[in-house]
Amino acid sequence: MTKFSILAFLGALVGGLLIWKVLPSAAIWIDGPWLIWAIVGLVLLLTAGLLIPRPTTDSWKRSWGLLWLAAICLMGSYSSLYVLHNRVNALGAQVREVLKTEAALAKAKAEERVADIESIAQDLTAKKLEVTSTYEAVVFDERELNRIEASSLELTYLEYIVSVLFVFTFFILAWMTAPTAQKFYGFNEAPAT
Amino acid sequence: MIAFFSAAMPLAVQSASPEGPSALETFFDNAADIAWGLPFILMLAGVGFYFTVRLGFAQFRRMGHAIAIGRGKYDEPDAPGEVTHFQALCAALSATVGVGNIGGVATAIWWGGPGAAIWMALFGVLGMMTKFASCTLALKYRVTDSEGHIIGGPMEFLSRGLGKRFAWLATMFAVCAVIASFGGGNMVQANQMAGAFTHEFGSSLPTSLTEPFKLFGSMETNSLRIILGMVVAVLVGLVIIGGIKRIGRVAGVLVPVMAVFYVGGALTVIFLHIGEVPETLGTMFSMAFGGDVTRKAAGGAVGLTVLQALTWGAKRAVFSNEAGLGSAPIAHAAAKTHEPVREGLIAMLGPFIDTVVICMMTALVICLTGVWETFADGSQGAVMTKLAFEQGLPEGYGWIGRYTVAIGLILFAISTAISWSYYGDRCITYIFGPKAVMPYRVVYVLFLFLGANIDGGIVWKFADVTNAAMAFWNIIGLLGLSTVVIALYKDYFSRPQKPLQ
Repeated sequence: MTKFSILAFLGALVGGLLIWKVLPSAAIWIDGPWLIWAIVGLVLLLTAGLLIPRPTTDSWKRSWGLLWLAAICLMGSYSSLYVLHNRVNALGAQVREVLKTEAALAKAKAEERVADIESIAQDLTAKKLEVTSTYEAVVFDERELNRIEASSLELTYLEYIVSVLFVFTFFILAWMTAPTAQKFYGFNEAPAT
Repeated sequence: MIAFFSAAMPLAVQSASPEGPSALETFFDNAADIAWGLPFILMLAGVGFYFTVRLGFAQFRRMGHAIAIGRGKYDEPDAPGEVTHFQALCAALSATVGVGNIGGVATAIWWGGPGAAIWMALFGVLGMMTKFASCTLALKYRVTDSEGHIIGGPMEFLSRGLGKRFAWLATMFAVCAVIASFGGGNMVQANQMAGAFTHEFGSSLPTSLTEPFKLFGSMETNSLRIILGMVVAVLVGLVIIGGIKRIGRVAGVLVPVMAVFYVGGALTVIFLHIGEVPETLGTMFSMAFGGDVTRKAAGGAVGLTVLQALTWGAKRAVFSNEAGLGSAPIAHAAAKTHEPVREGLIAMLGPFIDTVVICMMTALVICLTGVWETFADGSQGAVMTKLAFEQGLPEGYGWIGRYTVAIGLILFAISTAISWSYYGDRCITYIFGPKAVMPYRVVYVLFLFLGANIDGGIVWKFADVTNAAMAFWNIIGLLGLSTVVIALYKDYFSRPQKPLQ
């Protein structure tokens, strides 16, 4: 069972390193509880890794329980990132829309279309108000849009890292149910293979 | 699941507006999306990849043998079981070949570009080995109930293969499968069928049939939907009352007919554009691996990345072929054979036919006609496919393409409902015993009528979550018993396999 222990350690360390590496640089929009879920999940995975090599029924029960908890935490982290990602994408779409309307307003002004100017300006104010009612700090320019898009990409990477970690944990958890593993830990009633 | 429920709830409540969907609806929307999200896809792909490597790419090396089994050359009429290899495959295929093959492909291409279709096919190839493993185990650990019917699948291999300690995993699987059978397998199918029929043929019928009214106080429906609900309930009821033997016989006719009908329609469009096929295929491959692409849809150009192609291709492949969910092994467990590996091999043809053949046909039609670039709403996958079939045919004949898709949708929906009843039937037998089967079938048929008339909303989303949850329990069994699968495979091919017929 040493291989599962090594797998758990390697998984937790590589996963942790990757999260730290990708951890938002430009991403002012990445917040929420995802990081806490991920850290708790990694700690639980490491702890399970410590218990896995001991060939007793108790250590099986504890490490299997810890692996379940780690999987739940990592899924929690993914859920949090997913919801956040939807929000960031929606914000990006709203800002893009505002910039498009600003361009339309500038064009209408340049062409001196008085009737259009008023309606477009009203539309622009409404759109800006819609965004700032939820996100006060938003600045409506290309740079902000780029930052939001960078956040969205970073969220994609984070989603992939956390998902792979979840799969990793779940696979170790599943392999530990094998009849041969049950025998290793001293469960006498394990079925024959 | 507990985690994503708890993580999604506060944000769901925040994002719900008074005019928009309720907090509960948003919550279940998120829950269903997360349940079918990236961890789920990577998990299923990982299992497929694991068995592909451990069994030395058996999906390619043993394809010929699998086809020979399907052709009946290895049938054992006197072996324990209730249906032939081919009937078992058709029963499983009739559940998987469905809306995913029509609307799902279009959605994947709209969101991920033509490259998504290539990723779909690749994930279909991985899914072949997941299905092989789960169906082999289903045969190995199947039992006969007190009424003499076969009962097999993840609930049996989890409880008997892993031991009594894990019987709770088997019960969890069975509960999830029963709930899922009423959602995606039943009400959603009845609703899609009624929707497709009304949309395509409703305008040529008397308006009194399509005029909306309230049933039981709050259910908004119309006479046409009531009639369709009754017809589909009676049709499905007549088939499922006969158990797996009748399901196998009906599926054995229905599946080849609907596959030939739909694939024939797709091939007609492809042959009419045969000159453009090499270029389109080249574009699909280059977009799958080479680089990003821009879709010039209504509302502005949108950039699509390779990562999007991969994610959407994988998502729709899993949704379409159900490899890893643990549903198909329930049907395959009823096959007449002494050899678990033999059934596993024919089962692996399922994802191949479903995803590599039928989905690729749909994808080619969509890409050849260029509809993926111009269509405005990616959530309307079936409509997009219908448009592609319509535009792919010469002017004046577009209606044939439209009807091909509409009739395909109706047939696929009915056949899916038939097979899913068997999955629920076996799982309820596992939980409560054979006495629960008849009440289950009656309720199942009633739900079909309901499904044709109401939009289930939250109930369907909940069923989506339980549908995905089936895979979590199934995969524990697959990996826990992977050594058994590998040993059975090696033993089978260590013996000479000569045709029996």
